[in-house]
Amino acid sequence: MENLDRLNKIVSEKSNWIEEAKQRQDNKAWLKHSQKIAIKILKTLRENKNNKTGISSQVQLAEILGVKPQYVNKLVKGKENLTLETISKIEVALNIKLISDNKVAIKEIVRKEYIVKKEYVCIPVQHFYEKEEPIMYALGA
Amino acid sequence: MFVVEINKNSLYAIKYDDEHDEFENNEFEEDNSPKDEFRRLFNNWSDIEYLDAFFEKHQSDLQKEFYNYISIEDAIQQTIDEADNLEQKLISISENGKTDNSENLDNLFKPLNNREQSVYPIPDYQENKVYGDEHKSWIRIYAIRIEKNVFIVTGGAIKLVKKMSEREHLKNELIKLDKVKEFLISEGIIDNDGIVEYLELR
Repeated sequence: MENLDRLNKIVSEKSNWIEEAKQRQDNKAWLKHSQKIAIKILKTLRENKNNKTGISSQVQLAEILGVKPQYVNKLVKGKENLTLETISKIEVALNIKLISDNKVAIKEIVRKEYIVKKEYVCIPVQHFYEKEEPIMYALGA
Repeated sequence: MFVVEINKNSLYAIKYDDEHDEFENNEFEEDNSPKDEFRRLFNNWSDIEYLDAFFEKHQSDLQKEFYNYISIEDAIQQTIDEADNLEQKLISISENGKTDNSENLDNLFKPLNNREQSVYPIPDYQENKVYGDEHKSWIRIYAIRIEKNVFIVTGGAIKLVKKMSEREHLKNELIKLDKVKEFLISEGIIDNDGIVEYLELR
């Protein structure tokens, strides 16, 4: 206990870690997306640098997007809550996809549900694959 | 060097005057004053720019069967997830003294005992380390134990190789452990004759 008392006497300040940690936890849902976008941006910049093509630095990206380098730096740290407009601009500037094509994802879900329904009325799944049309009906297209 | 309180009577961290990490880029940060080691580590392990730079330099360490030849992008993701798990656990301990699984600091920190004595001999001391959930977890927090359930974090690192002597940034962590030990002895917080425990959390 003496050691601890002596230690407490020389403590100079309290760390901000717990506040920052709680912020990270509270914002985890969107931070995850921001981090994934940052990973993709940095990967593209690195590849462009290696291939000597396209935008290859944060400064160049800032110029193309018409924003300050500080902002791009925040983006690549994965700590910025980006707008859809910014995401779209980055996609165009770097010629990459940052948001997956939802069309494909929806189609997959509908397909799975359709198979379940077909099984229920005992129609072979194979039959479903032969006829693509019903998928479109299921989508309401 | 200064002692910073993370959680009174349990967890402390060192704030160095001149700690420099080549992968940190805090040029545009609102607060770019020196951070204590604990805060600095979790900041870096959630900073994609930092992790990208780190793994780009250490890419050859990832290109091993042990790591399944993992890509830089997957390595970044894994680090974020590992750090997040560890941070949640430490928040829980900080608030309740233990996690839901009844883990406390004493059973999270493990002795750091795989060090090669010939490269960096530390007679009379036991080294310790803390382990996380992941089997191949590579993030590490290094600390010195003051007494039961009381630790001072001296630093931390991403450790991709078996021995700390294999990489400069890991050797530096050993130097930091020793410097802090000397500091704590000079302040009368630990006994020169006693056993100083070096620990690792991962």
